[in-house]
Amino acid sequence: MKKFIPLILLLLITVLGLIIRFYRLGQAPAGLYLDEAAQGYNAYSILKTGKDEFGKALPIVFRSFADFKTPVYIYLIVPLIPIFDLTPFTVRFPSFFFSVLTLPLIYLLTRKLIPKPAPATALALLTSLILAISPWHTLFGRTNFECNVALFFLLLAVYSFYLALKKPPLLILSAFFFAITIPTYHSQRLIVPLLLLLLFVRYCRLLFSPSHRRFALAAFVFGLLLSLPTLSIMFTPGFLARAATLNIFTQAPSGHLSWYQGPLASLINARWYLTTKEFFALYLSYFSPRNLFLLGDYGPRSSFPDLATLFTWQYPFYLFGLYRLAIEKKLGELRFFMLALLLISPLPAAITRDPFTTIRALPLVIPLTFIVSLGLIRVYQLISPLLRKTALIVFGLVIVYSLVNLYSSVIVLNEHFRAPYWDYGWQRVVDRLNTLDPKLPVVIDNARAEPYSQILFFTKFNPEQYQRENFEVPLSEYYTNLNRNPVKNIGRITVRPINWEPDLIEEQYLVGDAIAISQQQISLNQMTLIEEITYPDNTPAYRVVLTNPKYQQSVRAISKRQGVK
Amino acid sequence: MKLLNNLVICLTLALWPLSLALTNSYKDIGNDIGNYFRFSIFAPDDQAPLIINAKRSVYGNDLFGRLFNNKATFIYGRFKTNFFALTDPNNYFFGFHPREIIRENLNLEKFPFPSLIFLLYAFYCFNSLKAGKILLVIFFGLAALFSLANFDKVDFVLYPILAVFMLHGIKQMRTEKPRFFVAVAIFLVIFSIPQYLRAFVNLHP
Repeated sequence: MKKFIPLILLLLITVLGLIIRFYRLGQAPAGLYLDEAAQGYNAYSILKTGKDEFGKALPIVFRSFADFKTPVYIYLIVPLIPIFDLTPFTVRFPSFFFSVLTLPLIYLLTRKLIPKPAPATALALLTSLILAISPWHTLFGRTNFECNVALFFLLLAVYSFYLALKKPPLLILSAFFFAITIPTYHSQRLIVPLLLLLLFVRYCRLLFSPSHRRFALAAFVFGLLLSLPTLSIMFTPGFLARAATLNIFTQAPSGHLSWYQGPLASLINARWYLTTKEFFALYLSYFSPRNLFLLGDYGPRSSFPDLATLFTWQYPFYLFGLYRLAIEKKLGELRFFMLALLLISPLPAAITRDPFTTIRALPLVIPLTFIVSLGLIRVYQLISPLLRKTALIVFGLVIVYSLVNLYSSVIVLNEHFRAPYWDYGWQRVVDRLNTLDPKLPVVIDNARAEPYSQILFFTKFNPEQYQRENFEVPLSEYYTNLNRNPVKNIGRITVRPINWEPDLIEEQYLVGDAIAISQQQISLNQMTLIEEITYPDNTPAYRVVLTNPKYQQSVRAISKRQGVK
Repeated sequence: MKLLNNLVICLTLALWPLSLALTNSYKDIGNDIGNYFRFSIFAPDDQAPLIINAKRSVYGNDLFGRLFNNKATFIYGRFKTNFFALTDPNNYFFGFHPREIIRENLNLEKFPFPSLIFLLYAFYCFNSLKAGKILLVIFFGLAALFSLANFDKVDFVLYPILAVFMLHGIKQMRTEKPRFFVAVAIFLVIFSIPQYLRAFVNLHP
């Protein structure tokens, strides 16, 4: 019976992680962000026509607004649509699914790598538990973010690699997962090669030994073949778009004193100095307690209100765990892997200009979770055996408090205060439009937002018709031409900026946010307010109005007679 | 080696006092102490009840809302802001983030950033520092104390403690990893030139 206890505990932890991530999945965060909608609709388009919204058959990277999206997540949505339909739940499901699977995987990986005299099972279970309740990991497990799926494949690849040290054929499986990880999320293009290099240097002797040589070569060739599609577009503007716009090396360096033109300008404003300093400042910020325990990610969609990336109570254990990880050489291979991931993970994020971005640095959640767990275990071992029961009860209460805190931020506050950032309201706009006169055209304003993906998504518009009626770039220039067409035709709906002069003299519905269609404009032009869709805090999100061409014509006729322009 | 060692110590430890002196900020420290309670975490804030009530009203259950949004959490939030800023390595080596301006803080770079390696090494060799544990307790104790109000300028009190750690790191690295020490020292010297020049120029536009 005793040997089943860890498995039962692991099952309970996984179920806990599942509940945290599954509760109101698809409804909280309220709304559907444009990237989520675009990925969902492109998956729908692939399912129905074999092509994306631009008519490109099975793209290697997906055009998306002024950017390109990695393909794996979109292809993962495709088989889910016949099962769950095209809904926010469906587009968030892969992230949820792989996020939950990461919990037992981190247990297995920790168990595999830790030397046996250490409290292997307890440490592995604790790491899994801390990850299950981690605000950082939970956020990306409830929303459509490719980084979470990439993290799962990365860990699976590493786990297979370590298994392959004893069973060489598994090297091919490891190569398969490493090859899949790269096109799953942008930052993995840097993390995977660096991690592979480290593993290769560490195990090159074994990999070149007679028992492994054949399989290592086969794995290399297999991985290379799988990566060929990605490699074939590696130098196109589409592939490099993200890195080119975000990296700190092509930007004006921070701290440049433009007012100083003196004789020492070349030293004082030296680019090598400013850029190096900025890189190290960014890199260090991923270990900064201020960012990890207080501020969190500055992005409203990559953080929860009043909650940082780690819980405040974990701070002392983070410091102690970090120290123990640095000095405890007996942790062996686990120490090597966690230190490697700890040092490599922030690199893709540290070369981009954003101060602390949890999306690009997501793999860091694994070593940080492990560090906190290590700190907890070592502190527990320092406690007198008489007080250990009390310590366990206190720990249990802290976990319960953390869960309540998660509920408060993830469900209650996030839904109320962050709805605008999640593009809340488009489903209600589409529902309302469906009840209106189908003969009248609709213009949806896109001066400040890009709602066409949400309209396509919620109307489940026929992808074949959409591809036929819209053009952006020739398909031969799909990866190279970054031009955009701001006007989108979706049946009777046109998504473009409202042009008041001509738009008011045609009888049609206009849809826009509170700035595009103000109350004053509605009364001034005698338009009919069909519906005002509000955010959960009751502030106006969008307004649907019907124009009044008769009134406009009479006003313009009077103006013309009076000679007023 | 001795010369290099002295240079490393000088470059590592001189920046914070020099920056403070150049900004003249020590001059109004008496005034700041006089206004201590006005800038304390307990100082009344007209906006606080509005923020607390706005958040509390969102919860279906008032008791639940009160648990996370009350006067104590508001004050604790201010304390955390100060405490994590005081214990953040980015504060000491980069003036927080290079593109970040912290209100009510000088944003001084207190040590040249390559010296961070010495501090990390000091913690790695923590056990060999005799008074290490006491110093660490004093550091966190003082940080907690200073977090009760605006810590700017007062945080200079932490300088001697950090200096001891830095010196320990320099000494240990020089004896245990002399080659690595030389590499870090060269890196420090090269990057200190623009950093020290900026400390002078930045203040006299």
